[in-house]
Amino acid sequence: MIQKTAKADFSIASAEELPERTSRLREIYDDFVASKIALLGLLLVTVTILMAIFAPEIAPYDPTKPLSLPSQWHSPEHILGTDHLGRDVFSRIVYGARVSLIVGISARSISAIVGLTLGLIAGYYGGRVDSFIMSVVDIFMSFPYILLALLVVASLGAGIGNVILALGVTGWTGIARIARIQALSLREENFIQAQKSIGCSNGYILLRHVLPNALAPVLVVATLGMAFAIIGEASLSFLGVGVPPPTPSWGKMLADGRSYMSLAPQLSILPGLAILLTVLGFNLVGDGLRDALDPRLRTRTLG
Amino acid sequence: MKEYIIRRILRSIPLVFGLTILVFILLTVLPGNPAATLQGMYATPETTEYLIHKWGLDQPAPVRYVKWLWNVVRLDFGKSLFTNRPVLPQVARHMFNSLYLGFFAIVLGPLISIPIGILSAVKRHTKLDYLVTILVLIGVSMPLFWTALLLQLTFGVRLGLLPVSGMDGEFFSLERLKHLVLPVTAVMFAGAAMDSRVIRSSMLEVINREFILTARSKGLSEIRVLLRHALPNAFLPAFTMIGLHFRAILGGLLVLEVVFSWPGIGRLFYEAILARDYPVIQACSLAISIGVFAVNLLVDIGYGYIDPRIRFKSQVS
Repeated sequence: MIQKTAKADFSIASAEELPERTSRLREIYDDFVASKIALLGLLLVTVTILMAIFAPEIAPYDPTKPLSLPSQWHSPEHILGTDHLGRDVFSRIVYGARVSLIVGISARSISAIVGLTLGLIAGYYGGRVDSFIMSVVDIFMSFPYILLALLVVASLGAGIGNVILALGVTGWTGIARIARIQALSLREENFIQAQKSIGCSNGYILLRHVLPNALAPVLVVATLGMAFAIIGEASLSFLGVGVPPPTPSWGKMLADGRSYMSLAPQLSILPGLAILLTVLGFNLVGDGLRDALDPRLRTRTLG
Repeated sequence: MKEYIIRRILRSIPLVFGLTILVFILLTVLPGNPAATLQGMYATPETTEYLIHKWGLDQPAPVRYVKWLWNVVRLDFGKSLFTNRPVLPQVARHMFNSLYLGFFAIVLGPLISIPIGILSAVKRHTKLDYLVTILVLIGVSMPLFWTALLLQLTFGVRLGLLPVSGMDGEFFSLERLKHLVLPVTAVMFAGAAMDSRVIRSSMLEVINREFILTARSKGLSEIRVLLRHALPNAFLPAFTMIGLHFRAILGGLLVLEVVFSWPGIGRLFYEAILARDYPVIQACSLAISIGVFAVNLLVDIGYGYIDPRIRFKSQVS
């Protein structure tokens, strides 16, 4: 019998009409790119990285050699003027990007490795191991970051390697905590339980399954912590225990410029501005990553 | 509640001493010789050896640590290697100075961050919100010592209005206040920038909840709804930030103290490290870590007061 009710249309929509199935990675990318602020951050970071890599091509002069009259304002030969020893400020700032980025990225990587390892082990195994590792975390967190880094760098001596080590070895606590939380929740997941039930070793599970799934928030914390690492290097150099001269470091430039504040304030203002923009860039990128990775904001796909 | 406090304190004690051990180990690695530094060009092998022996630095590290610990328990922190004056009063004074500075910043900070946070939450996605967000992001990214230098430059050097360094004058004097203005402003600026973001996001979370809708439908004015109903519930994360600020004051403001020559504990620690003044370094570490644990404990207790749910949950378990 022919029904008079509306016909339900069970025909499958043609391929063009189905919503696109996108991978999680694509979702994250889309979310990140959608935020103009995050893109601005990425721009700042990219500019800084390029500046660091191509420093020899960009900088007009050797940053370590005194070339002209000291403490000059900007002129056609020296775009940003000269510092108190006669070195070109623009070149020093360009080369200073190298120091800040190398120290920042390396130190943060060390922190990430240490923090991930300890955090994942603590969260996954639990029990006494967890308590012990958390006690170590508490000890490191009971002391302000800069002070501990200062002590370490003073003990090890000057030099960029020691600065990296000092900042890396003291900044891992935030990452460890996040990694631990991730491991704690991943431990209960079905697929992890399944792995254990078929007899996979804990080490294998940790490396192959827990680690990749825990990475996302850790990446956010690592990026946001770049700001602290860069400011940490600048602070240590400012205090005189960081990267030794004549290597240009923004923090050191700030310190040197202090004595000339009334005559040539730009000697301190400009490096500080460089630090500001770099740190701002990393903060924006970190924020963008965090928002893009936030599962609560996930609205779109069926996939 | 009391058992909780006692348990926390008991748990913190080994951690505090764990830190002093860590510091001690780092000090043994620390190159350089306070005896040589103190004497400068008058150093001779005999006098150097005499000093080292007098200070007990020729004994093995574990022995020194135990001796130091033994003295600490009896509240004897020794004398500074350089000034030969007792360490405890020096550390206490500097600690007080840091707290003094920080107190103003912590109390005055919310005066700025709370209105900004609420405002940008309420006016979300408007031009005002974006403007504030950008300003706050820049504020958070500004290195503290750069802000400090800028303030010094503008108000101290160019305008000559305010003193740029030191801490002068009697306790309640105008002079003292003038010396406080710039450092407190610098700290406040950094803190308020961070806090506004936190308050904004937690207000946003709270505003969409049902009890706010109830309050509004009762006919309450928007201001009352915001301040009396939304804000108290949104305040918890901001309280965490206050704890963070306190921990920063306890030595984390080292660079600021150096820039303003403020006699605080961070600066004391830094100068002691430069001078290899071991007793001062050790006493500072102890004081700072005790301070941090005390702040953590106070913050956790404070959580219980602000949010009764937390308080009852901990009692039930």
